[in-house]
Amino acid sequence: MKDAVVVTGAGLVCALGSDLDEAWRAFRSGRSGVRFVEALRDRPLKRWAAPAPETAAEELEAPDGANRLGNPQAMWLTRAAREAYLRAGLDRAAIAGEETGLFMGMGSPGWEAEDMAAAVTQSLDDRGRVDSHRFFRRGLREISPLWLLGRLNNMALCQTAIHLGIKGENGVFAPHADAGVLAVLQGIRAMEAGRAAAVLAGGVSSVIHPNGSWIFEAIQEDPPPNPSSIPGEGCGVLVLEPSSSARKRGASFHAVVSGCGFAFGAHGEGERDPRRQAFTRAMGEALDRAGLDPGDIDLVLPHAEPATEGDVREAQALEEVFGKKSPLANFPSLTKLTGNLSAAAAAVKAVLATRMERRYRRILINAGSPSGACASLVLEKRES
Amino acid sequence: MMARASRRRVVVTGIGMITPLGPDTEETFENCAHGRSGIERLTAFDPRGLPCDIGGRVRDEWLGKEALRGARRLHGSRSLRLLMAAARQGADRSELAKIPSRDRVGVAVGSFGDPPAIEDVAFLHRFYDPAHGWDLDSLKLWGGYNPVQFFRRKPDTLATALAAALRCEGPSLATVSSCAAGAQAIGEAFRIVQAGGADVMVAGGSEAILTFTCFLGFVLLKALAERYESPATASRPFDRKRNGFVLSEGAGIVVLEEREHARRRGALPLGEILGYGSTSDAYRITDTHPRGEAAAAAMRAALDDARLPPEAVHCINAHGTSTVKNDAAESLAIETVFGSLTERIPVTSNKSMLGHAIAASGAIEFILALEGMRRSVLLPTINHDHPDPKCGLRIVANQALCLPHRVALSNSFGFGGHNACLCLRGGDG
Repeated sequence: MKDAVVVTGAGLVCALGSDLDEAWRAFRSGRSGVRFVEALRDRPLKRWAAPAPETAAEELEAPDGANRLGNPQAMWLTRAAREAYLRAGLDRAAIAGEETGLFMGMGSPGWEAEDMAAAVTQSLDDRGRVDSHRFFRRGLREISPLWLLGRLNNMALCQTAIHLGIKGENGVFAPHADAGVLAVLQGIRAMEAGRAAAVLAGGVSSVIHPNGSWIFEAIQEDPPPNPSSIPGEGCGVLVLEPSSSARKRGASFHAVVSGCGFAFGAHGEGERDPRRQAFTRAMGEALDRAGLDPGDIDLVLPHAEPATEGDVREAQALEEVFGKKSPLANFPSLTKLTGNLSAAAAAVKAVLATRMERRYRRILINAGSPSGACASLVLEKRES
Repeated sequence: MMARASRRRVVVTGIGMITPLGPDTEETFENCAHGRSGIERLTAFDPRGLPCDIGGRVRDEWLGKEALRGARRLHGSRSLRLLMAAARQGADRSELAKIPSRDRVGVAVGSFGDPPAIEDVAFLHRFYDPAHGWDLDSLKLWGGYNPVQFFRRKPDTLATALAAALRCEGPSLATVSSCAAGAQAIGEAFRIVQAGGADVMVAGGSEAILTFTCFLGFVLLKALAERYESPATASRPFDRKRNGFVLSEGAGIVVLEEREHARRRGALPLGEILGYGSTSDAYRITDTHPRGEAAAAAMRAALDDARLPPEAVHCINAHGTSTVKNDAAESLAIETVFGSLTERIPVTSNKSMLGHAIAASGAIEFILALEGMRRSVLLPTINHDHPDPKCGLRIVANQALCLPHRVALSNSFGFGGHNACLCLRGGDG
């Protein structure tokens, strides 16, 4: 009989709170983390957003050299990963760093034009164009030597690996919600093949910064825009282990990851939007792997919000899979509370799902990308 | 740990590349076999004043044939055109279009994503004031920020475009582990096919970062070679006079297929991936571990995954960047894994001729290792004039070796401490 993959720890950082307990209380009370933000990390922003709480580097007790970049993604991931690690008792467990895997979906760290603004300003010629001589003579001094490293998508994962001493198999995928589900699945495969004894898997959102995708969107002050277009920040991390190993070391668990599914729907030339088919296939594959029928699912946490095109396709797919009565509970929409969490969306939902009431035993979580990749995850609540 | 699940075998049925030494695998391999260098003075932008003014650029005329259509033309970046050029070769060779079940065909691409051009930054800065932030109203009056630039920077744009162009409706993923991204894309694709998540995966990497903004990033890190007599002699992996790597561009794509699936449709395997190992240094974001411990662990993991002992390896295609620390650490790692066998196993670095194409390098080097086995040719590491006693390896120095060989390791190590190692076998055995 196949050894089930269980969730022995979970950690979370988002606009609802700095840890899982705080975020869960906010979620159940319907408190939203979305607000009109005047400034973020010492930079004017002036838009609706759901930023993550600030984490001081000192709070994380980082080893030397781990926090030199000071990038927000590394702070969130390290914080959430530490919480998950501690809740799983991995700090006391005999699982070596070399046997622990780390797989993450990762949003964009952001190309912040402000980092180069001073350098550019000093390098303009009389016609307002960048003069490379002036740039390399004067402007370059204005840019941090580690600037390029701070722009790499993988740095947050590397910094977290340093913090926790995780040296095993790893993967970092970008940049949308499906990447977080892929991280979970690849982590499971690493364990099933005996290449890891435990895996930390999940997703990290993009960093909110003025010159991200939001720079060309209209800013509205009242009423707030569509929730899907409100950027959110955060991170969700699950600790996954084979159930036999978890039981052997006395770790408690509350959920099993029983199925994952993936599909891609391309926008072909003159073709209709095929994402409905991709969502349908992804859900079907996840249910198939879990050995479940649609009627066995107690709750669906969808990817998208109403009124966007992707949402219409997902809604059509849900109807195709579940019929007219898809099991969407009367929860406050997560996106309305946390903003659009990009690569962290599915992971944050999975973490919160581990706390949901027992009557929601089998939960299906959808994740999509604007580019057409769709993924689904089935979580079953089971006590150790 | 969990008991090992039964595994499907994964063969390579298509390959394609475009590099500074050729528009395809054949021409690149031939030029490499003759020890030619693809490194020249930079012409993509004005590098005067920079401590390094060389790079490996793909000739524009080789890209001219690659037409992009529709949305891909709109979002088409140089890295996408490189990717499509390589992918078409691989797809044609494997006859990918003839596979009927498209939901069982996926893609995996490693890439950094196109950085913003200096012209973008020069345009944008006019609308930014440190005290007041962004003046978006004025930005909109000037036409706003071109959203195409945003899409070109997204790391999944290449995977998405490739999946759409080749009609791949299975898993689609983008790896972003910097210099290991291309190798990790192949490794993760291998895992997906092995586990039954797809029957075919188109995997590899693409990079086009010979731009002002990206170049200066590596200059700031002091990672590039700054002392060289000529462009062709600047990249000197494992040589005592090495002093940094040479930035390059290119793309490499492989078509991975479940062995029985390939056999049933009559696709001829070019080789097989036997194993994949992935580890993390967990040391420092700016430096490789000086003893190469995690790199050694990645090689051991690949061999363990392949169920092969070290003595089964016939050659190693090294990461070999030509930096002082990385080459020394990789040498130690190889010695740690192979012990007394080290002096017997030939090691080579393609970066001596092609430069470092970051995410694309792992894929390009994997293909060159595969071709080497098919042709019984070990490619040279050029500019190896002063062997470094700290790199006690059997380097294939300056001239290619004609030597039949069947099993190779291909290493790729990324910024931040990612280590990826692929174990491959040539031929259709």
